[in-house]
Parts: sequence; C-alpha cells; structure tokens
Amino acid sequence: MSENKPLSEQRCCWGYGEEPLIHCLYQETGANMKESMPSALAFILLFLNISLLNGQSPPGKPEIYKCRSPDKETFTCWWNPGTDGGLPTNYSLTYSKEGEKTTHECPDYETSGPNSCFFSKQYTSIWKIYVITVIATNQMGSSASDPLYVDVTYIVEPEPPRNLTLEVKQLKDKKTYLWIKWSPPTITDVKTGWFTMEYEIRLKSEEADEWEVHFTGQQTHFKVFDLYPGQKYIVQTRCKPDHGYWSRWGQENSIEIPNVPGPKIKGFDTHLLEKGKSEELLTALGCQDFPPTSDSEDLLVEFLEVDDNEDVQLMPSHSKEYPGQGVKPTHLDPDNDSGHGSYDSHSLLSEKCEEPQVYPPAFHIPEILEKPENPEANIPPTQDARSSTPYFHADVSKWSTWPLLPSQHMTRSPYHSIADVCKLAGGPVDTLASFLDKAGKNVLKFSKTLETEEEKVAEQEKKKSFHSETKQNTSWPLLQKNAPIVYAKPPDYVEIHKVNKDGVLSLFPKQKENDQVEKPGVPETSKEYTKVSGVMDDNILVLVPDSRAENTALFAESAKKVPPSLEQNQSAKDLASFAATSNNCRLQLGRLDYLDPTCFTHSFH
Amino acid sequence: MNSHGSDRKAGTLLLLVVSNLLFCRNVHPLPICPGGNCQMPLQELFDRVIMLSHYVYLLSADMFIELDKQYAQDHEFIAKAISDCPTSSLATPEGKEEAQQVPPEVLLNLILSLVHSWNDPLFQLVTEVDGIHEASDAIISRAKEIGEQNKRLLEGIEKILGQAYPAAKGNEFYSVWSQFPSLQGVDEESRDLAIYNKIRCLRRDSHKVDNYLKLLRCRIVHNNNC
Repeated sequence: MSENKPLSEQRCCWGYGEEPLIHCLYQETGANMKESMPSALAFILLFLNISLLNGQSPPGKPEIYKCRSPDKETFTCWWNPGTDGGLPTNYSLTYSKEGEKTTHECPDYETSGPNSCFFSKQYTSIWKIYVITVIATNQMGSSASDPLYVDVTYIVEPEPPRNLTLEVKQLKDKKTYLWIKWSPPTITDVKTGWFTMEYEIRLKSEEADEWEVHFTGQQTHFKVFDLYPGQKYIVQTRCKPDHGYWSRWGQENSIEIPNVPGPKIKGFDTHLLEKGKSEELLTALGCQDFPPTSDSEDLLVEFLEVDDNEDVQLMPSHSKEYPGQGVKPTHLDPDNDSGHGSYDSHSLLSEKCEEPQVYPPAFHIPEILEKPENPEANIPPTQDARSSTPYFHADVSKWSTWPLLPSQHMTRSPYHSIADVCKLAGGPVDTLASFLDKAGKNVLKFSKTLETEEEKVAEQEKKKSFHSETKQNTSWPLLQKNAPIVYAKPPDYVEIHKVNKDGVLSLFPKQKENDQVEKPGVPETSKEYTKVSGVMDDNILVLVPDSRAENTALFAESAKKVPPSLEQNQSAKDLASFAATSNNCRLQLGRLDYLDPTCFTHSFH
Repeated sequence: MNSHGSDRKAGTLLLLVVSNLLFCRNVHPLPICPGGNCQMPLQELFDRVIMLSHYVYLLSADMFIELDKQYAQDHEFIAKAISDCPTSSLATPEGKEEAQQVPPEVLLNLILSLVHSWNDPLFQLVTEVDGIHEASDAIISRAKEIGEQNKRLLEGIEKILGQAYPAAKGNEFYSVWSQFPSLQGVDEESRDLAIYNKIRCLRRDSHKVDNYLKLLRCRIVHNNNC
C-alpha cells in the first residue's frame, strides 16, 4: 500500500462539506490556482450566495447506517440520504478493497431497494476490508458520508428459517408432545459447512403473555412436552450463524393441542369441585384420612354416573342441583346390578390410595388403565368410549363428565381424577363395600373377576352376563382395582334390609313409587330413606336422622338389631350401626336425598 | 531337588496370578479398541478441534472489541492502522469456492501453519499491551488463553492429519513471522497502530481457521451433507 496515498488523504477528497472541497480543488489544480485564487474564490462565494437566496444548497451528508450479508457470499449496504438541499440529488456509492488501489462504484443499486448497494458474489470478498462511501450530489454541490470500514466476515445476519412445521405426536406411553421442525433459510450454504447455523424457537399459548424460548443448537427440530390440551400454541423460529447476528423471528405457526377425550360422568356436583372442596368429595367416596370440612350445606355428593357415549365432551355443570341428565332412579332388584347409589368403593379406593394431596387437576384414563397392565383394558384417550371400554357396560349410553375438573383442566379425561381420588383418599374403604353389599355383590364379584382374570373376553362375558341381569339401561360400576368409576345412570337408594352376623348389610333396592322421584320437590315425600352420614371403623354405618317421623320407624327397626352409636368412634366391628347425626348431613336436592360427605368425615381419622 | 524347586516356582507363579486376579479387580481394565486400534474416530476429532477453533475465535473477537472501544469512531486512526497482515504471505484461500478446491491435506497443513505462526506474536502481545490501555488486562488474559488453546488446536489438527492423511504429515511449513516489527523504541502512536492491526489480523486468522475446519468437517466426515 506504500504507493497509495494514505487513506486519510484519499478521504479528504471525498469531501466533508464545502471547505475540504475547496482544499482538494487547490491540491488538484496546482499552481495555476494560486494566481486565480481571488477570482475563483469570489466566484464561488457569489454562487453560494445566490443559491442561498434561492433556498437551495448542496445536499446534506448521507450516512451509511447498515451493511449486512445473509450468506457470507453477498452483502448489501444501506444509507440515509440526508437533506437534498431543495434540488434533485444523485447518490453514488464508491468503495475500495483492502490491498487494492482502485476505487469502484456500486455494481447494483436496485436489488436491495432504494438507497442501497448490493454486492453479488462476484464482487464480494470475505476476509477483506471494504472502505465504502456514499456521495450525494446535486446542482449545488456534493456531500460525502463518513467512510465505513466493513469486513463481510463480521456482518452476517441470515434470513429466518423456513418451512416451520408443527405436529402433535405421542410417545409409547401416550405422552403427547409437540414436534417442531424447520429448514435453514434458502440461500445459506449449510451443507458444505461454509455456513454454520444455530437456532432458537419460541412458543407460547395464545393467551399467554410471555414466550418460552429454547435454544436448539444446530439441530432443526425440537420436542416440547407438557403442553395443555385444548390450547392453541404459537411457535416461531430464528437462526444465527456461528459468528454473527440473529435473524428476525420467522413466520408464526400455530397448532391446537387436541383434547384428550374422556368419559363424562354425570351425577356429580361441579360446584364441589370448583370450590375446591376436594376433601369433601373424597370423603363422599369414602376415602379415609381426609380432614373434615366445616360447611357441608352446599355439598352435593351423588353417585358417579357414567354413560357410554360417542360424544365424549366434558360437561361443565355449574348447577348445584343434580344435573338431572337421565337421572332416574330405578328398581334395585336383588338380581339387578344397577348399582344405583353405590359403587365399588373397594376397587375405587384400592391400595393405590396413598397420602393425601391437593385436589388432582389432571385426569388421564390411560394412566389408570395402564396399571392393571392389561393393554386391552386401556382406554386410549382419543378413542370413543364405547369401543374402548371393556370395563364399562356396553349399554351405557353416554358419558358425562366427572365434574371434578377445574375449568382449566376440563379438557382432560376425568377418569384420572378417580385414580387420583384414590390416591388422595388413601386406604381402602371396605366399610362402604360392605354397605353396598347386596347391590354390590355382583359388582364385587365382577370386579374380583376382573382382578383375577385379565382377559378381555372374560370381561366381556361378565359384562354380558351383567347386562342380562339388568333390564334397564344401567350399569354397575365396573371397577378393577385401579379402574375408574362407572356409575349407573340413575342414582337410586338401597334399603337396608338387615345386618347379618358378619356385619354385612343386606340391601334391598328401593321400591320406586310412581314417578315420585322424577318430580321436583319429591324428596319431601321420600321419607323412608335415610342417608348414610358416615361409616365408622370398618363396618359401622352412621346414618342421618331424619327429622320427619317417618324415618324413625326405620331407625327403630334397625335399632333393634343394632345398637346405635352416635358420633363416636366405637369399634363395634361385628355390627353395623346406625347413628343419628345432625341434620347438616342431610341434603335435599332435586328429587333425591344424598349422602353428605362431610358427615362421613368424622368417622375417619 | 530340581523338581521340587520348579514345583515351588510354579506354585509361586500360580499364587501370584491368582492373587493378581483377586486383588486387582479395581484396576481399570485397558481400553479395548475395535480392531486393536485405539484411535478416536475422525468425527470426534473434528468436533473437538472445532470446539477449540470456535473458542479461539470468540476470544480473539472479544479482544478486538475491547480494543476497538478505545478508538471508536476514530476513522483516521483506523484508516492508518489497517495494513497488511503478516500472515498474508500464506496462500490461504480467500473464499468458499477457493477453499473447496484446495485438497484437504493441503488445507490442513495451511491451518497448521497459520496457527503456528501466531505463537510468537501472541507471546509478544502480552508484553506490548501491558499497561497501555484500559483494556490491557482483558487483552492480556485473552492473549494468554489463545496461546494455550492454540497448542491444543495444533495437536488436534496433527492428529487428524496423522489419521486421515498420514502421507501428508510432515509437509508442514511455517511462515516466518518476520513482518511484525518490534515495538521497542517506537512512538506511542505507531505502537498503538501496530497493536490494533495485530489484533485485527488475529481475529481474522482465527475466523479463517474456524471456517476452514468447519468446511473440512462437512467435506470429510459428512460428505458435504451437513
């Protein structure tokens, strides 16, 4: 470079304004200038004065504000024009390269838009410094920008990645995840290793405020787990060279995580769940070891009812009243395993019930069903309930939701909750099982069959035989150890027939009076019922005393056989006993009286 | 007598062998390489070497940024400082197409020369920069670190050559670093200009090494299908 003028001198003649121009003029024109200097100067001053009076001036100084290369093989520089001095102004970009003496003009003013210069492959050298200047010229004069020293190596900023695809997939254990894939931007040469790209993705659910950002290194795919079903997620990607700038975020793509369908369980008070009084719920199911709750007025615990249905929508029910969907009490024949008002609590609250937790938010059929390790018994979450439920009576007509779900998790299978209920409750509840003996004999038998026989055929046979015993469209909760609860459609009552010497209650299905239970307000007349307010120890039933006189007969009758125990933790293990508790335990809703779960609580530690 | 002695020897030997077996259970067994050849696969060699070259580049880029802060917007200074890099005498390819046309073993040898030719200048830089800038400490620590990493980089590249191109090994040629003038007795401005240029060239050469190695990896290990 020794022959070249030092860059500082070269810069001079590109001009910083008026003064240097004059200085360069002096340099170039040499000695002659000195003689005509006064007249030249006067002329220039005159010219300037005239144009100032006209409001015209040479252009302002342009500024090259950005140069970028998207691929390390081409690059573009953009400039800001500056003022045009009131006259049409031309812009030209000139450059020279390190190690070269010559100055060149921009090869392409068009490709990258206005006020830009695009250097194609032919004109781009990497690992060389370019000295670039923009000159604005108008009638009055010209103005040059500060020179910019650019090495293409360090100005690399790619285009964003393309072909962003989203797909919801499943692992073998039914866990769903979002599979995100993309491609590098088109023009970058990643294959030969000339360009090494790194990526980042970000995602958020539609309603969320903040993005979740993940750096993915050089890979062009990514898995995201633990997304909420029913939500729509938005995903974007961007990329960066190994040494350079991040691209902008690419085109958004969104996907909705499909709901995991589950059976709908009717007959449960969603209010209970929404208020978070899970402990009451659990105690209603006979789960032990739950702290008693104070206010039980608004609790409604019914049986869990499951109808088999293609329509696996969740049913958000906000009414305190019994949902009343097809809730019809039916005869509970001794031979009829309708299962009204009862459930196989033994199977519900299996030894899987462990320490109490917060109310479980997530329900997931497959998780429950996997436990028996009978794949045929599993209910795949996305299949319709009918085809996939060996546990459930084929005739069950529709599912209704287990209203345990909080709103945000309504989209999950409700059945998970039952297993979780088990988990929360802790401990088997044999007492309830014995309570439900008569009606439950078949169920218990069935469930035991299920437990011992893990073949689908056997189950189906049982199911069918079960079915043949039921004339009506009801089903007994078919529960395996860890199976979800299925409840017959209409809840019903059982009448305690007697208590045998083993402490087993024999139950009669309640005789239905004509449409009695279907009329609103009917419960007032269903006076022969008594509610079980709790179970003590293993086999002592604590009943709610009915203030009405009609109930006393029942009590009296039972009292003959069983010494009553009143809110005490007596261990009369050989006898079932009835106990009167406060009226608080009594709930009347709609047509039916229900067990107040809180009344159970005192019977559990 | 003799048989008795040899019996004793045999017994002792047996005892030794058995005791070795019993007591030496915790000794790490010798690595058993497939085919008896305990070589690291080429891909892993390249990955390690590229990790080093990537790191060295980041260090040199940091170094340059620290220095450049001192002269931000001083166009005149920068214009004066920019002069030939001494390593320009090495015929390193100046673009993608050029680099792809160079045979891999030749390129590897070029890389070796390039890295090696920075050993001394880095060493000198540590003393040259000392105390003259605010950023001196940052620059010095990085210069030392680059010196360390370059040694490992050289080892790694030599391993690659030895494994992939054993015939070409030994053809290394090093440039003689004579064009960096000594900075002793030089005025402040010239010294600063020289330091600026040196660090600028270091950053560039580190980038070249890193980019060449990444090109070679995709070419040799992945068959141009990265």
